[in-house]
Amino acid sequence: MMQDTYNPDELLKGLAAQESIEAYVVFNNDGVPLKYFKKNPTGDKTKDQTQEKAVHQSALFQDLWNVASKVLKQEQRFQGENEVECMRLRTKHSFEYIVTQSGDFTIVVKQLCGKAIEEYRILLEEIAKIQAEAEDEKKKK
Amino acid sequence: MSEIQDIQTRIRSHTSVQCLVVVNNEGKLVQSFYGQDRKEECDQIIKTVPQLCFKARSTVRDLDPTNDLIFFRIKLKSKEILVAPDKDFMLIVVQNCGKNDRRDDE
Repeated sequence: MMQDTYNPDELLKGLAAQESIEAYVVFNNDGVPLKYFKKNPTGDKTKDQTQEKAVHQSALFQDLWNVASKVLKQEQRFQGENEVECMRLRTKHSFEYIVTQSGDFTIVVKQLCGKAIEEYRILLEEIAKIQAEAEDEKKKK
Repeated sequence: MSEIQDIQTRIRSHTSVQCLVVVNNEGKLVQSFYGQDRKEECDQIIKTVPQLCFKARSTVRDLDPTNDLIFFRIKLKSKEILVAPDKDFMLIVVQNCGKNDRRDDE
């Protein structure tokens, strides 16, 4: 059965494992972030910053989603087919915000595209190099 | 100039495209093209979409002031709204999706 295998935690883990996905925030109808995640290869940022950002993001996108769905539904009341399913905001810094809602919960995913993925890969390689060098120095000592 | 027209005819010739509209920064209509019998339906959508796009843009700008919105798409149940905002003008395309992927006349 589909419902037996449906495990939100694992789905989110799978989502986070994708290379192109940098961050996501899951929040409820009140705009309270329930689950958030941000890839952090350097590991120097504190947890609070992520939470602050998550609250900020969920407030903004909650508002945007509500306005969009209300406005588009109102305009075509008689058709009843204008429910918003998904929104994508492509931005200048070559990433994309994808917003979608299911039941009471909304998720915002920040996805890197094109150039940004390669830049991210290079960043990871550099970090790996730096770490390797640091370990070498430790061994010498 | 012809390049722009080429792009517009290319978009319009797509079977799923219902309408293509160019709007200026104040939300006023500059150029419009509607598929068959879609005028009213699209008119209503287009009235609200520019404001929605401004809101989306301010959302992105609020999160990071150096960033900016370059493309915005909303997927509805039966159609998809694509918006390409620019400095002075905004291109809006409404296209069918899903079951009624094509225009009714085909």
